[in-house]
Amino acid sequence: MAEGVRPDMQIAVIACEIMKAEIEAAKGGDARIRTFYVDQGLHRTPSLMAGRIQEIVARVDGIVDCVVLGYGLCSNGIVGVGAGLQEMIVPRCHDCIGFFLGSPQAYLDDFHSRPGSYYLTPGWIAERKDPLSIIEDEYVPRYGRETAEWAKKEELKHYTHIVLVDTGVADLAPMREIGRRNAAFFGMSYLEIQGRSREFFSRLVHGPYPEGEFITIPPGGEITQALFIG
Amino acid sequence: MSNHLEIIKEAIIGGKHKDVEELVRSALDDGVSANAIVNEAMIPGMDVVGKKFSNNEIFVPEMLVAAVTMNKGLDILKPILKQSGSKSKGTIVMCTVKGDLHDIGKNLVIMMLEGAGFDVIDVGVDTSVDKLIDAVKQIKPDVLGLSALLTTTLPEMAKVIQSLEANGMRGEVKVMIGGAPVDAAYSEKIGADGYGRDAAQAVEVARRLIV
Repeated sequence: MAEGVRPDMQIAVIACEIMKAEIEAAKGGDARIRTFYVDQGLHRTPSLMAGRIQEIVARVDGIVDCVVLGYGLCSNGIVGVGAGLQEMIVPRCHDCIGFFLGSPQAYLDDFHSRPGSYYLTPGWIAERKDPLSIIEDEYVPRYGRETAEWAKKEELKHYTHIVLVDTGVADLAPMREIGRRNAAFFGMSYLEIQGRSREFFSRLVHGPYPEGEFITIPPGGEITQALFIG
Repeated sequence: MSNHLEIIKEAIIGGKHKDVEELVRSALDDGVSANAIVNEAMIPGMDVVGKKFSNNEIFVPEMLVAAVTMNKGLDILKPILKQSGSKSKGTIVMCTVKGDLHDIGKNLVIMMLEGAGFDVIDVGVDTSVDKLIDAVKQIKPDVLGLSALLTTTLPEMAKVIQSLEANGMRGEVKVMIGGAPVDAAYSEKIGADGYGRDAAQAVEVARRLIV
């Protein structure tokens, strides 16, 4: 599959809904590509992720020529997912942030230069997964405001930057406002970067799938942690 | 007596940080030993918290509140444990590896190890291999504990072990590893001496490694 998608192939893309806008933009009107999106909340419960993805693989098994996952290793959340009867393509990324930055290497470079980065993208903001929205939506109802704010500050106490990645699919102004508000609340710096996500998502749905950037799981094979960590 | 222990264990699980000091004092007044409170109530309580976390029944905030609760109890118990002259069970250097800034798990493990009678030296987060090699040279711990939350930083654990070998120090210190992405297979693959699935298990591993 290194050469990518041939004109006669049917593809199923199974992805986290956080990247729906970017994938739909890359897919355009290509009718050979079917897209399936899975609830982003699984990010916090990675042990449930593989099962949900596998359910969708089962729905397209043998019907498509190839399954493409719009997931990184995601805290081992995709470990154990089986390819089924067709090949499965998986980006060689630990984290979907690599998709938004443009490549696995771009993520590693950014990560090592600034390990305390909390990344936001249009999808994360639309899903209200910025830290302040998580406090309001998930923590305050469960723990009360004082504990909610304290706990999130504890979780993020070593983070230094809120990094907004512009993926070109949404108006930046309202996102910038949210990013800045988060940075101010947690005492972090605010940073905007231009990701090369358009090129990455185009490769994700159309190929080619070079080995350095994508893992090809053969029919019947399954995803392991070792494929990502040499 | 067992009633006291059960109530304190439940207080830890429920994160009753406002009640725990009184519960601990009341248990001590009734003759329950500090040792029993730590080992038969607090650590088993945190064990339950760790399992609930693994099963997605609770999330990080509950874990943090449980830790605060145990810490408040330990503040009362530590001076008593010290006074009783119980010998240190061993020295452990703890850190998160290079690139990993997530220390909630590491701090939990430290609290539990200290409660269980180990001397723990926390060398912090984002710890380079060189810094760890220096720490092992200077402190000469029985165990070096490496923690990571991200799969991105997991390979750093292997680098630490390789560097210990390259410096001819691998025989001097046991290495235990832990954190969400770590499992027994990875531990074996990189040649660690033990792995703890959660903070309570880390205490078990430390006890096993220091004989």
